[in-house]
Amino acid sequence: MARGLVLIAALFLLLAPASAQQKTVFRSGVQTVVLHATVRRDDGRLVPDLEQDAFEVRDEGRKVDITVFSNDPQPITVALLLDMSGSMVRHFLRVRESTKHLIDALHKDDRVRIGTFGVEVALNPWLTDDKAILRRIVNEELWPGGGTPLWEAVHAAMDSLEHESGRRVILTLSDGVDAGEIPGMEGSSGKARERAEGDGFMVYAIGVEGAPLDHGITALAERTGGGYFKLEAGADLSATFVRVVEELRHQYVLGFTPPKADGKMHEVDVSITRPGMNVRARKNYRAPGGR
Amino acid sequence: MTRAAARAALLAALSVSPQAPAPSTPAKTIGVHAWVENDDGLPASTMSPADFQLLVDGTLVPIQQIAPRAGGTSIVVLIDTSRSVTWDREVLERHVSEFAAALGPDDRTSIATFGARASVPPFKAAQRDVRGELRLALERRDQEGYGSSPVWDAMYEAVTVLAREPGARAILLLTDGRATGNRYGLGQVADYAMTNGVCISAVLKHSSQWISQGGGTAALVQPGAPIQGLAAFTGGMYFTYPESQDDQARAVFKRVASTLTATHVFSFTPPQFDGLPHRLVIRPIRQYVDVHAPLGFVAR
Repeated sequence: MARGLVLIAALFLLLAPASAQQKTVFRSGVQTVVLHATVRRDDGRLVPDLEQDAFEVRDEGRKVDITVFSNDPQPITVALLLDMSGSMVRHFLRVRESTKHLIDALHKDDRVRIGTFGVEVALNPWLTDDKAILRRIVNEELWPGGGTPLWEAVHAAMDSLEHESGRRVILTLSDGVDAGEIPGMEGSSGKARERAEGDGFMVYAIGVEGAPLDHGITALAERTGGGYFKLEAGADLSATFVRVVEELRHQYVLGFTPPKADGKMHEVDVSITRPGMNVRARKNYRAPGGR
Repeated sequence: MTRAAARAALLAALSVSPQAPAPSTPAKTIGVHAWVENDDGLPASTMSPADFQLLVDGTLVPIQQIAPRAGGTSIVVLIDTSRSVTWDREVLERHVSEFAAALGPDDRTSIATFGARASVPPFKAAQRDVRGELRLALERRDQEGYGSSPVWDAMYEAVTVLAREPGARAILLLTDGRATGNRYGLGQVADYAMTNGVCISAVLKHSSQWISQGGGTAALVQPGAPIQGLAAFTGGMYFTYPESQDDQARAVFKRVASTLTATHVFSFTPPQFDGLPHRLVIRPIRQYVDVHAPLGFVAR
C-alpha cells in the first residue's frame, strides 16, 4: 500500500450555506499525490523560498496542475542506518561524534530512529525528538564489526517506519556494497527498490571514503528524490549530516491529483522554471486504485 | 562505552529529584543483601556488625543486625541469544545446569533467553531439569529469527518479574555485552535494579579491542565495561566466560552460585525515610577482604 505517497487529502462533505433549495454539495474521493522537492542553485546553495509558479510537474510526460503547495519548513522523520561493518571500524569515533552533531541539529517535532548494521541489524524502538534518548543510544549501542547487510537494514528500516504517515526518510551511512546476510531477514535489493518506490520512502545515502558505495543504494536515492553524498578523505561528516537535515527541512511540498487511478507505477517529473537552479524529487509513484 | 562513562551513567541513576521529604519513621529498618569475601575469595559465613562500617550518603550509620538470608533467592538466568553471541550450546547447557544444581533447595530459577525480544518464564525450584528446559528455550529462540540485542530491556523485564518475588533477588546475565535496540538505557536499568533490590551478576563472552582511528589515535571498545559497572553497582559479580577452558568455566558458575547462596541481610536505620535513593557503602574493618553490596538503596 502506498502509505505516505498518496494522501487521501479530503473526503469533503460540505454543507452549502442555507439557501432556498437547501442544496448539499458533496465531493468525495479527492486524492492527492504528494512529492517533496529539493531545490539548489548551481553552486549548491539551498533555495528555500520559491513560490508555486516556479515548479512544473509532469505525469507520464503530461503537465498536471499543482493543487497543494508549501514552502514552509517541514519536520523530518528519519531512520538513520549506520554501517558498523569491519571496514567502517576505522571511522568509528568519527561516526559516533558526527551522529551526535546530527542530533544537535534536530528541531522539536523532528523524529529520528537510530539503527546499525554489521554483525546484526538493529533498529532502536525509539522514533523520537528526545535528544537525550538519541544521545544515550549513540553512547550505548554502537558496536563495530561484522559484514555489511545493507539491504537487510534498509528493509528493516522501512518496516520500522511502515506505520508512520507523511514523508519517511531512510538515511544510510556506509562505505561499501552489500555483503553478508542475516538468516531469516529480507535482503533483496530489488524488493527494497520496489518497496521504497511503491510505498513512497525517500532514501538518502552518504558514502564514506573508500570503496564505491553500492550502486543500488545511490540509484535508489536518485529514484526516490533523496540524495547521495560522497565524502572525500577527511571530509566533515558532521557537516554532511547537518546538510541532509537542512535539506529535508526545506523541501517543498507539491501535490497534484493523479490523472489515472489505475494502481500502477507512473513516471513523474518535477522541473523548475527559474534559471541557475536544479530540482530533485522522486521519479515515480504508485497511483491509487486499480483494484 | 568507556568505564568512566559507565560509571557516570550509573551515578546518574542515583540522581535525586527534588521533592518534599516524607515524615521519617525511625523504628523501621532497611535490609540489603550482601555477601562478604574472605581472604581465600570465598563467602564468609559468620560475622558481626562490629566487623563493618556502613555509610549512607557518606555518613556512618550503625549496623543493627547481620543475618543469613531467609527463604531462598529468586534468580533469573538471562541468556543473550542474539546473533552477535555464539554459544557452544552443549557446554552452555551443562554449565547452566551445574549452576542451578549448586544452588540451595529454597532457591528458584527462571531460565530466559533473549534475542530480538525477552520473556521471563515463571520461577521453579532450582534443582530440576534445567538443562532440558534451556534446550527447549534455545530451540524456541531459533524460531524467532534475528534482530537486535536488547540486553538492557531484557534486564528491565527480569527486574520487573523479580520485583514480584519475595526474599533475595538476582539476575545472572550471560551475554557479549553488545547491547542494541533498547528502549531502556543502562542508567535506567541500574536505577530499577537498585530500587527493587536486585543483584546483577554477569558472565561475559567478549573481548575488548583497540581499534585504530587514524592519525595516531585509537579507540578502546569494551562491551563488558557497562555491565561490569552494573554488577558492581548492584553488589553482583562479573566474570569473563572462559568457554574453552572447561574447569575454569565451571568454577566461574560455581562461584556465582556460592555467592548467591551465601548472602546476608545487613539491617540498618537510615537517617531518614524519604522514599528517595541514597548512596550506600559497606566496608570491612577487620579480617574480611571485601563486601559485595549494592551501592545504593531507596529509603522507604
